[in-house]
Amino acid sequence: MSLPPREVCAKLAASIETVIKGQSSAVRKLLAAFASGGHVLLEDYPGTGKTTLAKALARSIGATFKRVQFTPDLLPSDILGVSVYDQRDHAFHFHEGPVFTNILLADEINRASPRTQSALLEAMAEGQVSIEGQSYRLEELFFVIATQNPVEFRGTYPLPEAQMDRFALQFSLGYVAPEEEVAILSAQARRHPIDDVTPCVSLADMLGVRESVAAVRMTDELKRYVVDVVSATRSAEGVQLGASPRASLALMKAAQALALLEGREFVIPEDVQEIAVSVVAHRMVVDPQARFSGVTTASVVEEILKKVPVPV
Amino acid sequence: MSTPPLLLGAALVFWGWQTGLVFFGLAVATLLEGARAVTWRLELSRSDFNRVADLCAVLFLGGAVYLFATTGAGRTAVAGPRALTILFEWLPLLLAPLAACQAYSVEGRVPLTAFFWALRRRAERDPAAPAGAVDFAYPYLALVVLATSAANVRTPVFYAGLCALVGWALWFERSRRFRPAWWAALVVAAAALGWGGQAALHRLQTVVEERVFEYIFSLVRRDLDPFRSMTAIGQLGELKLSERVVLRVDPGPGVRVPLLLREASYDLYSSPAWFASAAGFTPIQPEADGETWTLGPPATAPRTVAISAYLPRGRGVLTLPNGAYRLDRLAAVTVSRNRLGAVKVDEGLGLVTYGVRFDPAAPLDAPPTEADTGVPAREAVVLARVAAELRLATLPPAEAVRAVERWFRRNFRYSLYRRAARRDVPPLEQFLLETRAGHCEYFATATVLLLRAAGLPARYAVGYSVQEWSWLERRWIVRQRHAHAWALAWVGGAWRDVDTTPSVWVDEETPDSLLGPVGDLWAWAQFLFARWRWSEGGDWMGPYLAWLLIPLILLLAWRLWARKRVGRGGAAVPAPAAPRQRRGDDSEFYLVERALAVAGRGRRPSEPASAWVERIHEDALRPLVRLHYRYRFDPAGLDPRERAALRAAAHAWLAEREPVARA
Repeated sequence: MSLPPREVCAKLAASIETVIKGQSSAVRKLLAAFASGGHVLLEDYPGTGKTTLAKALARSIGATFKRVQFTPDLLPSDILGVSVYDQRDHAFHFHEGPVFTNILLADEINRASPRTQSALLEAMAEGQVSIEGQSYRLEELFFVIATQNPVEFRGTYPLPEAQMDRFALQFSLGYVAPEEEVAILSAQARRHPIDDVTPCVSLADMLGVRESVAAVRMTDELKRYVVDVVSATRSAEGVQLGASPRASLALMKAAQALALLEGREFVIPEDVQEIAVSVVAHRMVVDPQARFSGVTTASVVEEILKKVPVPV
Repeated sequence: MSTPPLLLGAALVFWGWQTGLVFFGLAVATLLEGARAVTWRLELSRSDFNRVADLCAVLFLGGAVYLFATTGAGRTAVAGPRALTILFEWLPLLLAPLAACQAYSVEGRVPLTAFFWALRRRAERDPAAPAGAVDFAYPYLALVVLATSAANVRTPVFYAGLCALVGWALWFERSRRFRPAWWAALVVAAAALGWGGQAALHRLQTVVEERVFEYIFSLVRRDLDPFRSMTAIGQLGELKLSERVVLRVDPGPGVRVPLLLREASYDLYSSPAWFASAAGFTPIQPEADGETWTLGPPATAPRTVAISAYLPRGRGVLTLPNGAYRLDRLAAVTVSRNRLGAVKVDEGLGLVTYGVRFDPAAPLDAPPTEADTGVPAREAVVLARVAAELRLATLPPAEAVRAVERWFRRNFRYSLYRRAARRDVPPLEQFLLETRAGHCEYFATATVLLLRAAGLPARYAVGYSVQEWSWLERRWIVRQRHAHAWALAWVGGAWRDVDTTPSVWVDEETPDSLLGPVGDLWAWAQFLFARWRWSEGGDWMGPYLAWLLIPLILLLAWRLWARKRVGRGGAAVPAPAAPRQRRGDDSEFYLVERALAVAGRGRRPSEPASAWVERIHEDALRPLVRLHYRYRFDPAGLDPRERAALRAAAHAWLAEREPVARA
């Protein structure tokens, strides 16, 4: 018998938090993205636990997990797979790449060339890949966690806007409080706690959660609020490229997922506000002059949230 | 550059022209405006800008050292300020590298770290911290214009150039709702106002200086001294005269203007002062009404005049026409007079308006004594010579007076200015024989002494000459600069006014001032206030106040009416859409929200309910918010029982907390 969706999420969160300490907000966002069927981009400095977070999630679910370390010489076929000619039966056999998995960790995605980054586009958007004129369905549960170092660091290629738009959420972990860091040191004194993580929910449970998220109710008024927030980014000052309707869709789904995490069957304005920056900001492009004077996409979205009247 | 095309270049050329640095002006203008012609741009980092800013600072310091060394600052008093001024003039040149960097950079702005060391240190500590940047073009333009002003050419050309530059800059920012002709007319009007304003400001400074001097002087000098009158005879330079209105005069029928109003007369001259001998004051008793004061026997053909005058601290010497014999409506406790015709009030109101009846032919002042014929030894010789020239001794008194008047009229001119002259010759002798130019005190003194030298008793009188009609106040007004001196001659058993000063004196003393009408209006307002304060004619104020109130009320009404109608942008204001019926609109939670809003703890428009409840620490409302949210945002809604619970919870909270919320 499958567990109720909320319990699935709670178990998953507890399992991840045995490894990732002091990052409950990040775990919450990760789960919201996972439950809503979106992909996640983690952007942070090296060593803040991005990969560990992805691995902890993968290990907590009884799901297949693959990891690709992106490097400048990585080719699209290294991700998608390649057909190899078999001399015995005189035919090409397709060898699946790492994209054929449930959870894919694309580590340091901005180190690969844009061509390779784009290889993930179709996979992330449509759940399928086309190789040599043939389409291959990916797993029903396909979740990409990509990590990247801030663009200012050497040897990186900024992700194309279209690729950024495919990620439902982007957020960063940031440095933890000194007390939490001490706890991390103590926990890893002998062995890494990730080694003790075992699957606590099944794939079927997770698919059940995704179905439940889609069933979370949302009034038209709140949908209108979502659209107001997203469309305000298109006319905001200093913004070159605003968020797309895909952002509205992702924001709605993420808000539904958050409601589910809270055990609610309907979305409230707080859900939308909580997740809006993570869902919307990374899809926008600030013009160079505004960026030069310190405007960030996150600050633009925060300002918009402060300006657009919220339904109460 | 973000400035309109060629504006900065024009400003720099203008700067070069005005400061004499034409070559540099042209060079910098070409450099900066050239950025528009080229398509390439430099990728300048923050530290590049910092370095260029440092270069500008070094240039500035170098320029300062050079200027202070070469202009001799520190050795002479004016060299320091001169060096500073030149340094200021050079600023556009010294800061040109930074402006050029902005013009040719990709960013088109200068990071703030270029200007502030503290920001550079912060940027070093935290390179990822967002840094502010400013557009340097407009500040640089303002600096260029200011530096141009430092050249201080003081010609209308500078102002015209400044207006042209400002107009140029504003042209691109003008409102497109109006036609360019409107815009141009307004700019021209603003420029004209600016020109008038700066002239008026300059004048205002002079006036304020004068008024401060007058005020301090008035603290020292209580009122006119009836015993002594210092003259400006022998003083060098120009006499400063004030525009202040001191008297308001309503002459009765048959009274001719100009009219001389005397304050006091004197009989002894000792250069440069006149003295009144044996001029002790004797009190006058009022008539039964307490406001009528008789100075002498009534005349057969009386004339009248009404005079309003300020009496600071309720005391002072009254100004009266010659031959005044009765004062009407003079509200005073003590009035006294001396034998030379001065009438003094010791206890009275701050503003008095009194009627005077007078007869110029009546001999009211004391008859001449020996003092009225004396000539000081210093001036005796020259006076005797002039008197002999005019053969005054041979003429009858009235003829002698006419001869003197004629002589002055033909041979003398009026002047407020006296050049440096020989010290060994008495000023009066210089006036009579050499310069033949002076102000009324010269004329009056010379006339008195000349008449005496001819054997005719004469006195020196001071007061005011009434000759300016005020269209504003509809009456004659007397200003401080109308103060006058003249002679009194004993002719035919009475004292007669003899005024030999050329009649052009009033024109000479009329300054052309832009602020004159404003000053007059203010003086009138002060007068009206003083009248009201001293309870004179309270009734007539009513209509004036009403007339003042009517435009005020109209203005207020127009403002209220106009505010509702004027909208910006010219587009019609879209009618607000009819409010849609929202789910859960009737939730009682809104009553709670309204009650808290009334108590000043309202929700911000972008604040969700739970965050608001958290902020105002109303934990008790959380269950209510949960229910309300379900009612509002759950499409499944509440069942009747829960709906009732929401209603009950809200009303319970209101019943319990409303007094608190209200408080």
